Amino acid sequence: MDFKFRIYDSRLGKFLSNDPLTKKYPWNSPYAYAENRVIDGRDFEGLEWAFGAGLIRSGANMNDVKVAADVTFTFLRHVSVAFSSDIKSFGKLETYSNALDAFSLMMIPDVSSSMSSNDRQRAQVIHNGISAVRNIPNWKARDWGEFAGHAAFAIALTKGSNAVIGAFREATPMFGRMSNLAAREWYLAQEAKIPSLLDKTAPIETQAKQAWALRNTFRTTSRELMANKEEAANLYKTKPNLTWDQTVKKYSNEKGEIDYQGIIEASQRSNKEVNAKLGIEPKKEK
Amino acid sequence: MILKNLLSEPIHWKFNSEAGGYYGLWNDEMLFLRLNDFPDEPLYTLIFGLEEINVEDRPPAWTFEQSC
Repeated sequence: MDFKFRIYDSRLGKFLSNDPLTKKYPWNSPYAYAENRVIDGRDFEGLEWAFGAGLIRSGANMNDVKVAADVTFTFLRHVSVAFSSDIKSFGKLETYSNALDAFSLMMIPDVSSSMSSNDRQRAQVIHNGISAVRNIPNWKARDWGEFAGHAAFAIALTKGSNAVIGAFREATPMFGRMSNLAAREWYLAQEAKIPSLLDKTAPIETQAKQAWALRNTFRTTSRELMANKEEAANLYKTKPNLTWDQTVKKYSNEKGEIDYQGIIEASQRSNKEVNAKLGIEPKKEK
Repeated sequence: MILKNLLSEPIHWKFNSEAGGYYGLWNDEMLFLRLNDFPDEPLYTLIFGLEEINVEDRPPAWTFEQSC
């Protein structure tokens, strides 16, 4: 079988040549298939063990798994852009590992039980954000969710529980420490990026849903950044994020027509008058 | 009254979830501190009569209490 980079002999269960990445993984046999982890992984091209066991077990074909992989990394790239704010404290934030680590923290019982409530909250925030994006129809949400979950689990297994927690703490130095004003400035910087994060080739309904999901993610994250946790808790009670159904209802007219463009515009419309007074008007991306 | 001056007064605020904010007293006058739709809006708006002023962070002189 031709795996692009190597030929695989199904009778032997091995590749017929050395792994081109053997120097990167000295602990593996250079001839092993999927690092000998055939229960929970696959080797797409003869290079590295890849995730996606849940998909494969549930009968997805390799193309579906690859689509899920593409979607995962597209999402994570978008989130990276969103988190690479101008605020210096966020300069080192690596959202790729951050998001996956959050998943692993939620998934591994022994890690979860030893987590502080703050860590659990942080993991929940990112988990919620990802869950929101998983609702976007065009992103093949079910596949993506399962794929990402297994990816996170695999990373946790590789790194070990402590490494995952340590990396997570290091990646999120400002969670729960910001002043309200700093958290809002962060939010406004992210809000201004929403137009550039939308898939302009997608139907207007999909773009609206993307904008809604991004805005909710940024809103929740900014509340988690606040040092004042008591007030953040009050906000969740008194000013919760709108669900997609609530948003659609809000932007529907009497004939049942939905103003998707209005939803997109609303995702970038914070209180401009007040922001201008405070001199923190969001900078629009060129 | 200049509402801005109240930022440095020792006011004790009690939260009321139904009202969506805090009630406080200053010189026997009732004040309201509205909890806004943060982060789209500043966290608080201090309201006295027809006057109002936005407040981003809690002034050090103020104290807060969660209730009802």
